[in-house]
Amino acid sequence: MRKYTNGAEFGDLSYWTSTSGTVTANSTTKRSGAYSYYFSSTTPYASKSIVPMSEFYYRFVVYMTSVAGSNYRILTWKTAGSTNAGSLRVDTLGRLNIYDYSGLSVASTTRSLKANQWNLIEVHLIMHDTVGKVEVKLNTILEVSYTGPTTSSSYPCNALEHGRMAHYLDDIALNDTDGSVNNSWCGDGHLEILKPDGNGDVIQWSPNTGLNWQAVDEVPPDNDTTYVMTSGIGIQDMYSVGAYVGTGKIISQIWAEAIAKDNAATGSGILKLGFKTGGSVFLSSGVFLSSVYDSIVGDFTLINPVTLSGWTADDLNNIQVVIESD
Amino acid sequence: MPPENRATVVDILVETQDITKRVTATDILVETRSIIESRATVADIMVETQEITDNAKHVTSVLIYIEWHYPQSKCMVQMI
Repeated sequence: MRKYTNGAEFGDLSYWTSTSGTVTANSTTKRSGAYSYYFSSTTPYASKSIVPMSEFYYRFVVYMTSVAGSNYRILTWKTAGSTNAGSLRVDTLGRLNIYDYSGLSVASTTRSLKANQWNLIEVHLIMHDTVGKVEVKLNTILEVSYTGPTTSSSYPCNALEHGRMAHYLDDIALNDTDGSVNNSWCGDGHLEILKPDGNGDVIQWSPNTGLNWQAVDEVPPDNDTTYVMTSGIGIQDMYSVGAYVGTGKIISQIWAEAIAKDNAATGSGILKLGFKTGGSVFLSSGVFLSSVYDSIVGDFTLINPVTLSGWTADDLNNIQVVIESD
Repeated sequence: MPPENRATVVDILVETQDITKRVTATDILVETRSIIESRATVADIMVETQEITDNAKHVTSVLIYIEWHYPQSKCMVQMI
């Protein structure tokens, strides 16, 4: 089951749980969509908390002007208490080295990363103190498979950290092993977005200024400058979105995503996200809103639930993104 | 009206007495004061409005995310 996907397309750092140093959303060098994340040197890093998992498949894509590292830790998997359980490091030849929890290099790729191009990296991780596993694919080819302790105890991974080397990062995805699809290697994937470009079939929220769609179309988000709001329950807004260019693309999945908050100190506000297609509305389960703006992710939807076929450009050119208060 | 449902003389007397029980000036004053005291002040309205605003759910950006891949089974060879 797909658990996380992100391509920096909000043009901000809302995906990350925490960052340190100069981490930015960069619109100049990106693999797909309009943004990537940029780590300016060996100092900055960004950490993403995840639901604790003992096994998962992870994808990320990096671009470096120089791939020669001094065992720089571009990916670190962590356990409770932000303890480093292992890492993927770049050596002086640009190869990816697997480091275990004790800080020892236990395996390496044969091939090296290539400078000035995007490198697709996939990792299969099983957290275990004796029979753990780390497998690494580079540009879809399995390069190395390590079996052994991947954590000092059988703790699940609860955070992933990127950075510690100057590079651009894009097209992140994480699958766990549940379900019948998206339960293994993430494979190649490109991420882009469609922004609101008009009011849709239902408009019930209140904009603080202008038209409703104009209050929610900003990338990066402008927070309290323009927004829609409601205190009600079951209140919907729908927005048409910009044109999708689908030439040469197979759509793997779509989902709605928002930056939202609840002003109440109790944080009891709930938001549902989804879309209207083929005359029907499909919404996610309600997600509790924080008292500060944060990203809310709708359901990853692999096929059009009306046609029961893969998504088409025509589907997306007629889709409306939907928000509903709960 | 059937005979058994007819009003009696006593019924009419009681009803008449209720009607003639006039509202006094004191009654009106008390009622008016009660209405005045229970009115919402401007401050009340401002507080209420603030609470409505503060409890509001805000959405500042929303979009559709798409993940796609190239069609499979395509081999590309670049001559160098």
